Amino acid sequence: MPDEREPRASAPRAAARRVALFATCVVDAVTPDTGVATVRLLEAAGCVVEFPVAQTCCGQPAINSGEPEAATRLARHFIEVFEPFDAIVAPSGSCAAMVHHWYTRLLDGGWRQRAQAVAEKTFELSDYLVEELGRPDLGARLEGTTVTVHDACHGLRNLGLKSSARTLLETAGATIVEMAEPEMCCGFGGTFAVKYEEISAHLADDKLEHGGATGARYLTSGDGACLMHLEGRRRRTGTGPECVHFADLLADALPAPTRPVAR
Amino acid sequence: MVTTADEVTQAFLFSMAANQCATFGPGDPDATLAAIVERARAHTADGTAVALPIGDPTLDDLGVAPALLAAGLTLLRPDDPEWFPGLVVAGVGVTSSIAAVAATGNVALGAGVGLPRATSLLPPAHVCVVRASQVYATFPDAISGLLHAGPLPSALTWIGGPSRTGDLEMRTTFGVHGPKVVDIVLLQD
Amino acid sequence: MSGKGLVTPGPTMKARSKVAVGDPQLQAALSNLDLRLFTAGVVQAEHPEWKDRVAEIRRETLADLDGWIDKLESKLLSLGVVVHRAATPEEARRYIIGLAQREGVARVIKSKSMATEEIDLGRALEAVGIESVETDLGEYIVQLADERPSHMITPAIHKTLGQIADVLSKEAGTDLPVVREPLTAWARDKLREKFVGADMGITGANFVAADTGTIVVVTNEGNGRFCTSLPRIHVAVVPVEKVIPRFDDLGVLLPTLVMSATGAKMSNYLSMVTGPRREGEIDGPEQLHVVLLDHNRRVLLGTPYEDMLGCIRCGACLNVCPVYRSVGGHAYDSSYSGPMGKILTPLVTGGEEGRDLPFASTLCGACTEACPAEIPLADLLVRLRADLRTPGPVVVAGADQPAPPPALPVDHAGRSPAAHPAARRKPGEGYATPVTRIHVPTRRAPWSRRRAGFEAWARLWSYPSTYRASLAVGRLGAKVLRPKAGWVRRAPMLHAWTDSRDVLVPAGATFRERWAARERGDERW
Repeated sequence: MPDEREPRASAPRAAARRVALFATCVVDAVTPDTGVATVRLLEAAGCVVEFPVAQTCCGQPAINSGEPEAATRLARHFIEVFEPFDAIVAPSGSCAAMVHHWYTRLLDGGWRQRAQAVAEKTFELSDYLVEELGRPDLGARLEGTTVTVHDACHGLRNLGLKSSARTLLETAGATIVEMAEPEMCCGFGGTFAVKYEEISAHLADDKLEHGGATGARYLTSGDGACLMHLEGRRRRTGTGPECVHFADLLADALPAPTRPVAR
Repeated sequence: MVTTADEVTQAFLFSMAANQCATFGPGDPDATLAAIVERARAHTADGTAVALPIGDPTLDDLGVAPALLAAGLTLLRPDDPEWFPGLVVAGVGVTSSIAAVAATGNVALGAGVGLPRATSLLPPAHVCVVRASQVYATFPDAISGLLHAGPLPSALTWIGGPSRTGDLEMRTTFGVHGPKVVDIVLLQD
Repeated sequence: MSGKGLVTPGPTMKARSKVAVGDPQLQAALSNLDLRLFTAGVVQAEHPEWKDRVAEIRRETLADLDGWIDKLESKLLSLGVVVHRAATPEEARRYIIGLAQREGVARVIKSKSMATEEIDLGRALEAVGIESVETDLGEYIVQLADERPSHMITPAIHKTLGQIADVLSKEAGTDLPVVREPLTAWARDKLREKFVGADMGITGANFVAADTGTIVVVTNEGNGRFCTSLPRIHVAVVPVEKVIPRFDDLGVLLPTLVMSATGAKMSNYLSMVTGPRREGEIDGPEQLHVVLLDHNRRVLLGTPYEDMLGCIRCGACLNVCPVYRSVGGHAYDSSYSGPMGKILTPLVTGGEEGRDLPFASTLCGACTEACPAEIPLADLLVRLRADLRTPGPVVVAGADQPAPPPALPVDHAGRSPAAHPAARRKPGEGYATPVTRIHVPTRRAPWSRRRAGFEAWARLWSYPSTYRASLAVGRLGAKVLRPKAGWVRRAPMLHAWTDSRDVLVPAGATFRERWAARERGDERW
């Protein structure tokens, strides 16, 4: 599907850009390799990456559990930590969507304006690389690798992400084989995954079956939590392709596995 | 997008055929009348009656009642005290429409004095005469057109084709409650 | 509205879902829903301009719902229609049963209607000895099986053809073939007997036009035509939000409803009833009664839940919902199922039913995307989760409602025009500019373990030091309880996850530790 979006007002710049990485709590605590991969991709695109150590969680678990007060507290913290930066990039469509979709709904008055300003410069990783920077070619080589892409829900429906991860993978030479219903939810859904575990697993099985039917080597996506759910199910049932974040796939395929320390 | 009257007419016939109707015409009054008689005869081959309204301007202009009688068919009219029990066993109901839509493929019937609702409902077959001049390109056009044509009838019934259901494993099955066969006869006027 | 006396396979959505996921017959039947997956996009693809128009009409209606109802009522009265306003299902049932008894009605024929499901009218009539026959084929099957419809457009979607043949064979007293055409033909003959001689036809209404007083009933089979044409009394049960300002609005509303429901360009039959039979006419109802049902709807006006009243009951949100497609309608144990049912049920029952339903969602947003009336269903689910913390009705009559957000242009629904879902999804607007304070609870929630837990968590994670400490504790706990890192099958306290999937036990450093190591030059990436 072609991306019909208008180019953003801020044109891609050749000069190095200072980018704040929002690692997300899942990446920080459970899948740090994806964080490393994100940094390597941003640096391959010429960015100078910073990691504000005061960052924690976007607050999504709270709002989705019907606890907006707790979510508001974390929203304020996020805004305070990240508002000094030019751009904020997260390897998660869902966490970026939390900032975009919910912060302005959670906050009032001056806080809302600050939330709006932060949201405008918060990006999901592939979106930032492809649409904002205009740098789909990071030097990663994935020729001969077949992948199928799951459109994670919040990135797709709240941020309008559809083509950017595919563009990165295709530019790297990967072959994309689309699965049936790529936009159908994988069944993770935050606390839904444990509260309605049977439905959640049922949906994961559908997704893995569709992914498997493509014959692709990897099922990839831009949300670590969905992938943990899918990969966990795959390891339990033995069905479907290996589920990997696209950042991990791409970073592993960058030419020099070790780069000098950035600064 | 359909534009000229002829294109609208053709699109209408195409849509009705897609809705599983048999279509006839467009024809002049003689051809239209011949088609009506032929269809009525086909649907009453087992000796059943043809249900026909009273006072329908299109059918009256065409002279449908005398033509059917001349063809030796049995007529059932709304002024017959046995209209309702007769309708239950009639072979076909013949009506005209007051509007039709090319894009969606449906015809609108208005109830009135001499124009009972059940004529096009109870018999297993329905023959509907449509004037080409009453075919609208789109459904919104037809709704606006009907609204401005005068007071709405007590019952305005839109019909797309033979009765159907999707209730059995979501596959279309025909002939549930309404007519199993709908013939559309288009009059070029 | 819970269809008292019906056997449901569990007390909670969770319990019922477990049964549903494990029912191979149900799963086979539900796979037919794949045929309707595409319907949500049809209107958008063929008539992109209609979708905004539909939402516009619905919002215009809701902005002055009482005014439109008054207008409708006077028009209906002028046509000779009897209008009864019912605040509750009880009141609606009492009126209709009283009418039937007064008129000596022995048999009622019913056309498929969600409103009559909501007030459980069929069973109420049977309870006082009036035969009530569902005439939509799917509804008839469901009635014979003593079940509840499981989909608002396709009531028997939960049954395979084999199961349907069993139900009809039992009623026929003979073995009918498991083939669609003869099953349909048998039902046609059987229901014909019921149509003829029925004294009262009961329908819902897909729309009622305030300017002409026209009641619109959409069907494919023709049963709606029978119910509105043959019996001498026609009763239409009309939830208040079914009113539309103008007959002319039907031009866009009807095709949108049908396309969103089935993907077809138009339904096979539309019955537009404007008053009872007129002088000289020989069929059509002598008496036409319209029962306007409120049932906790008008109290939603002016609240963030007002948008829910824009629902046109097309079922598109059910068809695309991953949860609905996994468990079917009965798991909801409510007249309304799927995403719209999860919202509407706790609202219209005054919080008495379906309080767990809003949590049975992945919040994937497919429903919001599919909705032709632009109802932000996923957002309302999130909001409901918060509002349901307070016992009792979600919206209390007379209580102060939250003010619309200040300093930004808002429409009547408290939403900037630019934030309407359609506007949000326009190409070029990947990043939305939302403004609605949609989640902020109406009332302060009482203490609960969940609430206290989340607030404590949010406090801890509002400071980097305590956040870091909690990660360290987590790592330590993982190490002590489960020394092996990597993907494992079992982990203490995580059974709700590991019952169905392996879990990734993290090894080594957190990301922030690795970042620090890199900054120190200890690690190269």
